[in-house]
Amino acid sequence: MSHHKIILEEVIYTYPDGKEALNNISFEVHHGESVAIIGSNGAGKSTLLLTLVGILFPSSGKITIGDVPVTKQTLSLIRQKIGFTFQNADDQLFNGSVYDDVAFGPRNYKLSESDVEKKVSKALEIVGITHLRDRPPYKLSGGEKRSVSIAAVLSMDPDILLMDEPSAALDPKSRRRLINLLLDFKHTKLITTHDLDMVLDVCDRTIVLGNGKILADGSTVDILNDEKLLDECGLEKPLSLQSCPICNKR
Amino acid sequence: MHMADALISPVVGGIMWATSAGAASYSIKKIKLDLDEKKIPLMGVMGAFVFAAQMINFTIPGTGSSGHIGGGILLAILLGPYAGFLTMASVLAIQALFFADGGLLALGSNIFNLGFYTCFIAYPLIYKSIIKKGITKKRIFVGSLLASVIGLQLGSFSVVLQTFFSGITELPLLSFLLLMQPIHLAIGLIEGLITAAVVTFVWSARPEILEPINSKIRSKNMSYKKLIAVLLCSAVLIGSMLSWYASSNPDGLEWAIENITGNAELESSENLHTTLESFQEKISFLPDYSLKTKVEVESNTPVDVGTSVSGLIGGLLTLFLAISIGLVIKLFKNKRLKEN
Amino acid sequence: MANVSDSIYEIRYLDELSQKNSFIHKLHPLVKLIVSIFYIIITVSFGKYEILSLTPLTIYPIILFTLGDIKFFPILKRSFLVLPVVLGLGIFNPILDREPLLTFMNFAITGGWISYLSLIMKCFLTVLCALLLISTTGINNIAIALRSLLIPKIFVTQFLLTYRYISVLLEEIISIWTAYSLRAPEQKGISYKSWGPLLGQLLIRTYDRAQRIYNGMVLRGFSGEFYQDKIRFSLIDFCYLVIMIVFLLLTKLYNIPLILGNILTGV
Ligand SMILES: Nc1ncnc2c1ncn2[C@@H]1O[C@H](COP(=O)(O)OP(=O)(O)OP(=O)(O)O)[C@@H](O)[C@H]1O
Ligand SMILES: [Mg+2]
Repeated sequence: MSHHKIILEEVIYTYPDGKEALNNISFEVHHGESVAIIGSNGAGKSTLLLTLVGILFPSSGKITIGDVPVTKQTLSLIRQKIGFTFQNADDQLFNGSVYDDVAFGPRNYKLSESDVEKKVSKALEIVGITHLRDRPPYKLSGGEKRSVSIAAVLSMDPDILLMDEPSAALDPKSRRRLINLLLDFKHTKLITTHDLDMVLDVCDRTIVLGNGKILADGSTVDILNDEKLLDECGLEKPLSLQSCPICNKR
Repeated sequence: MHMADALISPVVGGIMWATSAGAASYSIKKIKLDLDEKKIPLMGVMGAFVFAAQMINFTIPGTGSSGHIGGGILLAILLGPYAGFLTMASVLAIQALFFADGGLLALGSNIFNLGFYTCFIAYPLIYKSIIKKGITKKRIFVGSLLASVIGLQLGSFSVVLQTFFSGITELPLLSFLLLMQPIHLAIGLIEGLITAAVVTFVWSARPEILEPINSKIRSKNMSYKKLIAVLLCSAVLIGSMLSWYASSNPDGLEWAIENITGNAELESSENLHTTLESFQEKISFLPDYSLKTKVEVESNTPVDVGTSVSGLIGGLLTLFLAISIGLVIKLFKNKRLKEN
Repeated sequence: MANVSDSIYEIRYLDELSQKNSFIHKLHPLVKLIVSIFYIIITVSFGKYEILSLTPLTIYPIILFTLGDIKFFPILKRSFLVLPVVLGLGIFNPILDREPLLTFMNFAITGGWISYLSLIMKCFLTVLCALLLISTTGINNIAIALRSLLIPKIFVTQFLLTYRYISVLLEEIISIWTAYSLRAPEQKGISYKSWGPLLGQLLIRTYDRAQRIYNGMVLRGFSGEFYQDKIRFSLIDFCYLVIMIVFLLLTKLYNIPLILGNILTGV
């Protein structure tokens, strides 16, 4: 199937105040691929994701999702396929209860209440937060909110997952659950993160952004072992690849 | 100042509810026309902003005292008058429900006093006409300061009138005004200064936040006049209907009008006690706060205590009964809990 | 800024109460809203000297407290918050209205004191009523009640969103205030120079947040329509409504305490 692929061609995005956040970005993500986008703060990761779902439109260049170019006319078509989680979960959870938040998407696509109920229950179960079902989101902890925001996009059965720093604020157990969840999700996924250990677990391929440009694009193992490159990009080799200082001394 | 339920009579509360509801449904119609469903989250979040921002205390230089932001003007500037008014209504409703600040019956008055004057009078007539000549930092400052002060003066004037017509306080109208207006001038100045500081800051940091609304409104000047005309007409209509109804039994409204015009009809109180009228008086929702002379007190507002001894006993007994009902229910519930 | 964290706590407390599952909680929200408003209207409709007639009205909050499984003192404590305004305005009554209305064991009690007392009682009763409404109903159900009163969706949605983001904004304010006061100790409020930047920046952040929330909505298929729950009326709702209205009308029509007192003292 070709329709879960993502193609960017020479994408440039400049914020209204003149800040050039994306500078000539081109890459292609194939169906079923799992890609990490890493880079220092302000590198342009969030901006990149926003252009993929048409919240920001590139000043020039072309983005295609599946076989459909991202334009104002195709937005609803494209957004139906994509599940997008925000860097800040509070921005995504605006309903009175977790259930309503997870049901928000399915309801907008006019499913019957019984179908909505099924989708919500399934999504809550996958993320492991069935017990939060009736809680109001503003009373949850940061990590719980994060989990709910993930359930809220899974309930829409997306073909492509875009996640902005999904493992931030998660405790080790929830993080592990997220990693397993991502491994189970067989469709295309694009994840921005500073959690390089998670990248190692989840993504085969890694794209390094810096100052709005692609600095490297290749297999995760290669890139995360390239200490010089990581250092230039303001990153650090993931702990699991660092040779243990205690063992080294021996 | 928020009106409280206890300070308002059902008639005044009802009139103000009707008026505010009228303004709100007109506003909803208006924003539906050019929505922009993008505005819904903006309204919601800005409402929360105002709610929260009202809790920050700002020190007033040289006085040691502090004040906080008002909200109505700021919302009108950020969202336009219609959305601003609706947002203010939400904020006040939440305050009434969760903090008992104001009250459910007085909510209509509070929306009117704090939302209507700011969004539909002070904002278009003052802020906007100052800004019209072209936006500068100085004009924004002066505009939001003046609009806040005048909005609050109107609001407090309206509080005085509402309390007065509800017949709650014994204070004569003039002394009440002399008490309230200067206090609210001071409060208004502080609110105005804070609002002005915030708006000018936003203008210099992110002018586009203020721009779209300001440019949009310019073309729609006419609708304000229409809205105000409609509201005035309906207020007069409702008011006259109610006072016609009210005039058949002596009430605060009439008393106030009599006091002002100076021709009290004392004789009407004598033939009040026909059975039918006393029944009407019983079911009327118009409290008779009006009566000051002894004669009238006896004929109209009986101190409902009867002979004081039986009154006291009856009152205590009622309270006792009320509390025992509570205790019995509780006992019953505890028993059931244990059995389960 | 103690009052900010207090209000977060306040809101959450009432919110938690509204999650209970008592008889009162299970009633249709519209019924509860109507009864509350009717109760308030009846309460304030009594004349300023009619203190005795107010006493039967205490039954209503007592029933709500017990049947609704609501703790008495925390709610009572909250109702004190509103009292100052009423106390302040009402104090003119005893000062200005010195007409003796009652003699009680040779004491003359003036009309002013009686009307002051009735004002305070009304204040308590109406405030309790509002607080009990929210703590047995909850914001989502209030929204349902508003919808069944045919209040437009735009307004109700907006009302819910405001409520939803109040906690977020209050938390932001707390952190701003903490950050400010850590670097500016010994200040009671925020000094003039920081007024604009401090609130202005929060406002801009809030504005951007609204944008992101909106994005979050459209990304999940939002097109201007919000889903809203409905709750069906039951026979119990209807009975509750009728009983309450009849009770309130009775208290308005008959001076129950006086009748009781007269029977007891044999007048
Ligand atoms: N709304 C905006 N207006 C102007 N400039 C912006 C805006 N949002 C982001 N930028 C700028 O664009 C650049 C890229 O920002 P972006 O949010 O994409 O970074 P990021 O890689 O996601 O960083 P982080 O790791 O901190 O999340 C930054 O330099 C930032 O300052
Ligand atoms: Mg980012």
